[in-house]
This record gives sequence, C-alpha cells and structure tokens, in this order.
Amino acid sequence: MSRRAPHPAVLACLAALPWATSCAVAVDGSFAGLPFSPDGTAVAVLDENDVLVRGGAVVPVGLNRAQKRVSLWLSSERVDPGVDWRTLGGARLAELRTRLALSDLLVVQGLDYDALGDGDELTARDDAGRKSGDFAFALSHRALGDDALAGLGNGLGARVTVTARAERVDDGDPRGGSVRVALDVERERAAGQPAGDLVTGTVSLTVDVPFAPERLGEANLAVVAPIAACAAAAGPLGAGACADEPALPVVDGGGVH
Amino acid sequence: MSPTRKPSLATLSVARARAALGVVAVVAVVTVGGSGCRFGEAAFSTSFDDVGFDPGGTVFATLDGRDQNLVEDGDPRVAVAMTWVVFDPAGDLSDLDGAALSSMAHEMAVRDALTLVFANQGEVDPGARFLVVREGGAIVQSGDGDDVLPGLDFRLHVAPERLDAGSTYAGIAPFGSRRTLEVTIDEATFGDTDPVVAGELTLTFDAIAGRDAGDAREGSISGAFRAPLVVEAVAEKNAALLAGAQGSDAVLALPLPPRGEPL
Repeated sequence: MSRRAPHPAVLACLAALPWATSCAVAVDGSFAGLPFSPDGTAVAVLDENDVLVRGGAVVPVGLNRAQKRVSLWLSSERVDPGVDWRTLGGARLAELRTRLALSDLLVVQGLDYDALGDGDELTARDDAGRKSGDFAFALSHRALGDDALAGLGNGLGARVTVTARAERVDDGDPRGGSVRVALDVERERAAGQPAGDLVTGTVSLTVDVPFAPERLGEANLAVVAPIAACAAAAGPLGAGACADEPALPVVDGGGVH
Repeated sequence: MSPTRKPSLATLSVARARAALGVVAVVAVVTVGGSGCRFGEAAFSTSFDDVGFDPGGTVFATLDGRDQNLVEDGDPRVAVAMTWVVFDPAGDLSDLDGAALSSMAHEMAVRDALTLVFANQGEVDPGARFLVVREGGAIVQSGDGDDVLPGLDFRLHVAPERLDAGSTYAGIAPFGSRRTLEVTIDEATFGDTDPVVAGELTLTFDAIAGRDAGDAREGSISGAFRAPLVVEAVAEKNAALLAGAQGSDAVLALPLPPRGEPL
C-alpha cells in the first residue's frame, strides 16, 4: 500500500485540532451544481475492540486484524467530537443533534481495515433504499432553501454509490494512528425515476485524519449514525425530524446504555 | 463578663461576608435542588473505590393498583423509584415546557437510578425482609427460608461512564453479573396521612466464573431510602414522560410491565 505522508497543510491543521479537523477534508465536484461539502468536521474511528454482553456479564474483547473496521463521519457542521456528548446538557445535545441532522452528512461504517491497508477499493451502494456492498453508509444533504429546490428539476438521483480507497492507514500504536481515504460519491438515476433533469454527478472527498480515541469516538458515532440513517431516508426536506433519533446502545462496565 | 468589641469596618465586613455566604449557600441549594426541596430521600455508599451511587434526587413509591385495562389489583405491586434527577413526582410534568422535559429525560438516562418492585402490597410491612438474586436478566433465587420473603425484583441503572480521550476498552471494569438484593422494610403506611415506604437495602455484585470477565468488580452498594407514596396515575404519567424516546427501556421501569414479564 501507499505510504504517502500527510500534506503540510494537513499537518498544520492536525497540530491545531488533535483528531477532528475541518481542514482534513478536501471536496472536489458537486452533484450537478448541488454542493455536498461535509468538511466542517471529520472523524475516523478504528474499531479494535468489542464488548460482549453474555447473560448480563460485560466482557471486553480485542479484535484480531481481520476483524478490525474503520468508520468515518463527515459533516458540514463544525461540532466538537472531543467530548462525550452524553455529558452535555439536554439543550446543548439537542442543538448539536439538530445541526447534524440539517447538515451535509456522510457516515461510513464497517470499512475493512485489512483491505484498506492492502489498498483495495471498497464499494457500497444505496439504490433507492436497497443497500449492498462492502460497507454501510448514509448520506444526507443540508436543508435546502426554495432557490436550491427550484433548481433541482426532477429531484436527486436516488442511486448513490460510495467508493473508498485508502491512501494511508496507520494504526500507529501507541499514538492512535491515522488514515487518509479517498471517497468518491456518485449520484445516478435509479430505476423507476424519470429520465432526465435529475441531480446526478460525482463528489470526490479526500479525508486525512488521525484516529479518534476508540471508545469516545464510538460513543459519539452512536449518536451520529442513526441521525444520518434517518436523514438519508427522509431526504433534505424531512431530515430535521431526525434530530431526535435514539442513539445506538453503548456498553460500559455498568451495562448497556 | 464577656468582652465587648466595638464594631469596626473589619468586623462588619466579616459579618456581611458571612451573611453573603449564607445567601450564596441558600441559592446554591435551591439551584442544585431545582425545585428547592427534594421529594423523598435516599443515601447510599459503595464498597467500590471509584464508583459512587446517587439516586437520591427524587425518591417516591407508587402502587400498581390497576393494569393497562384499568382492572383493579386487590394486592397490588409496590414500586419504589429512585433517581438522581430532581423533580416533583406528585406534580404533573406535562406542565413543563418541552425543552425542560427533554433535558430531564436526558439526565435521567445518564444518571444513577434504582427501582424496587415488591410483588404484593400486603407483604410490605415494617420488619419484612426480602431477597432476590439475579444473574443477568434471570431471577435465580427469590426469598430465603421462612424469614426472608420472595416477591422482590429491581431495575438498576448505573450512570454510564463519562468518556474522554483517555478512556480505553482495557479500562472497562464490569460489575459482577450475579446481583443479590436484600431489602428490609422499616416503615410502610398506605393510608391517607403521609403514606410512605422506607427501608434499607444492600445490593451485592459477585462475579460468575466462566461468564464474567476476570477483572469483574465485586462489592456492594448499601443504604437507606424513604419514599413518599404518589398516586399511581400521576406517577406513571410522569415516568412515561421522562422515559422520552427510551420507550420500554425506560430507566425507572415505570409504568411497570404486566405481572410475569421481566422488568
């Protein structure tokens, strides 16, 4: 696999913000003029551990290399993923959830760490709700104003394909490591959609970030992922209702929360 | 004869400072307490070095007198609910604005709570002792001989660990999954005048060989509670409001599931 060093500008950003940066995302292209710029916050998490719950017993287990997975989430909103969001007050958490739901948001989960390390190209597709591929993802657009809606013609192409290819993966023990991934997001017409005047095209994203601390990163991802999944299904006009999506369970020594 | 001291600027300043501190203290108590006075009491200590347990913000009891079809239960279950969150369980929380209610529901989920459920009101008398042993979701022992009654169950909600950048999976210290709860009732009145359920409890955590992690925590939580009785309809409505999006996994297990179903 390639071992490209981060660009000096990225290194400067990393120094300013340890593991979640806006300047670590480069965006190229748009969906036929409709921008998709999830470059406000970028977080990568390397899933190296799991927690089993067996008959009420909580048992942390380490994953072997083949089981390790990488998750990424990107948002046009600048939020602070460096705190455990559950510790925020209810009002602040509600505001954060709303901002995420109404942002350009991309959550990618289950990227095979080993395959990324080998430089493999991984692909996943959401074809008007039918999902397939090597990993899971959810993509949603920020709330659109009337002007933007007027330019959408017959709407968004509902077949979305995300291709991921790592340019660098470094688990970097004991310092946490980092990842540089190229993501191509393609919107196309789905079967059954009217021909012509659909918003289609490809947006290329390059993400270069250190891995977030695993437990903290996964706890906050448990908040983001359901919002993204809901917003992707609801579309830009309904995404605001996704702010209250329940978080995924998080397990600690006290049990499942 | 006690010495007299002429008031000076310095002594006045001290007196004013003390008075001001008193005001600050009162304001602080009101702020922390939210409504200014807490409903019920509970205080617990733990044998764990780094884990406290504080569900003493609001403590109340309620009778599960009617099921979801309003069929009356002649010997209803008694629930004693304890949570860190401070609110008035006898008031109607639907009078609060949505943001306040949402914040309260959020805090409920991230703070300590404990609900005790006694199967029969008729057995909840002063001096009565109850015991239940749970392993995971299963009750493996209920009561102990003639002197210790069965008919007790509980829902424990330990506040989630607050994570930071230094939190690791290797640092997770699970509680032993065999949990033994012993409750002794000190006071139980269900009449019209100051109805209350009060008692003492010990909850013991033991590791199960072959099931729990090798470093599972063993120890106990013990303390006392005093839970004024709240009308069932009000208590259940408030608990349902606070459950928010958690639905049936509500922290307090209120409203109670039908008899025979796990908490």
